[in-house]
Amino acid sequence: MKFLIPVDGSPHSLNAVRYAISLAAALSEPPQLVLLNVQRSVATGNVKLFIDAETIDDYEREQGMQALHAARQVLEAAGLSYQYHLSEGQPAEAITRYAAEQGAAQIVIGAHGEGGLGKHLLGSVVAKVLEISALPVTVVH
Amino acid sequence: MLEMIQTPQFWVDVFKIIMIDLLLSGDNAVVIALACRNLPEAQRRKGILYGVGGAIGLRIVLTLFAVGLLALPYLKLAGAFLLMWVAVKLILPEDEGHGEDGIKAEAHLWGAVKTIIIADFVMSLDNVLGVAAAAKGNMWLLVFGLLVSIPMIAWSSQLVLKLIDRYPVIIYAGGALLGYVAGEMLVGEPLLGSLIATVHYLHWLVPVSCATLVLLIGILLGKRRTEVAVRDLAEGMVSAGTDSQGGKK
Repeated sequence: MKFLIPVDGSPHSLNAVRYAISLAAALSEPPQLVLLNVQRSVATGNVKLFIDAETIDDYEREQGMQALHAARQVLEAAGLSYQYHLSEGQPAEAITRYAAEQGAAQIVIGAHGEGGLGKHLLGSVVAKVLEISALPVTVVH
Repeated sequence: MLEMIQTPQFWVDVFKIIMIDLLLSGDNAVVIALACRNLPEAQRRKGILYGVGGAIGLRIVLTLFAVGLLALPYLKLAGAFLLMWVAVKLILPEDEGHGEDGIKAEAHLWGAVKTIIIADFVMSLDNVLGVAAAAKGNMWLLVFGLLVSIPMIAWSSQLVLKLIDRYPVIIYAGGALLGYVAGEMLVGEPLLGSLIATVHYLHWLVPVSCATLVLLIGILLGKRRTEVAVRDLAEGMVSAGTDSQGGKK
């Protein structure tokens, strides 16, 4: 059994990781925990014209690994095995697609991502995931 | 200046210019950051500084040119059509193909600065044209538009990208706005002056028609590309008790 945990490095996404850990610990057969970070593509037409694809990918990969870092530390501190994955694309789309691909039993996701202004305007990823995912979704505050 | 500020039209124009700047400046900061990526740490800050400086200088020169050029006959006509094309392009979704034809990020300071400035030249054309059209020859508005766009050269407007994700209608509103401004530019074309003066309702009919046209073309062409692309960047597996190691794909 797999739990997919989309993370972006925000406090709420870390809460989701901690919740998934506690949930996993309570199960007799602990599920495989899968972290996912999705980077929005920075490669618009103009950017692609002036920057090679490899540099763009490296940049997105670096940003993604940074976003995963805190969640990976939480899991490593708990002494757990896990899988991680970086995707590029529309976050909600990428999350649901990867969850289905991995045959995840559920998606455990933080109530909202990045704080600040975005918190009020956005929160969109969670709403969209709830809308389009066929899998059970646990939203963690 | 003071009377000008008190008219609602002035504030409508200010709003238009801010919108245009926001919609047409997103890429600059990304290009600057990426062009300097492969520089040694010590040169990276210099590269960014020179690149931003050069891009700002270039933007000022281009704006001055645009104003001079748009005063010539026929050029408003050409500018209006160009702007309508920019508007349609804004609505169309990006082609997701990852071409390998981009320029390899330079490992030399001047190479990176050159990339930034050439890129800004290309990207500024849209922005400068849009702002010049919305300012309608008003120097204050033009300078204002320029000032608003300058911080956007240096700082990424990721927020705009996310807002567009959340409210895709913004992109249609933006396209319609650019179409409207293009229509206003058309109305200002001296060649059409006598016609516009006699048929007064053209003043609003032309901009509204242009906005509608942009929306129609954008929606029709956009229908064919709705596939949302998702790509894998990297993945890895970490077993308990071992060092974490990631694999690139």
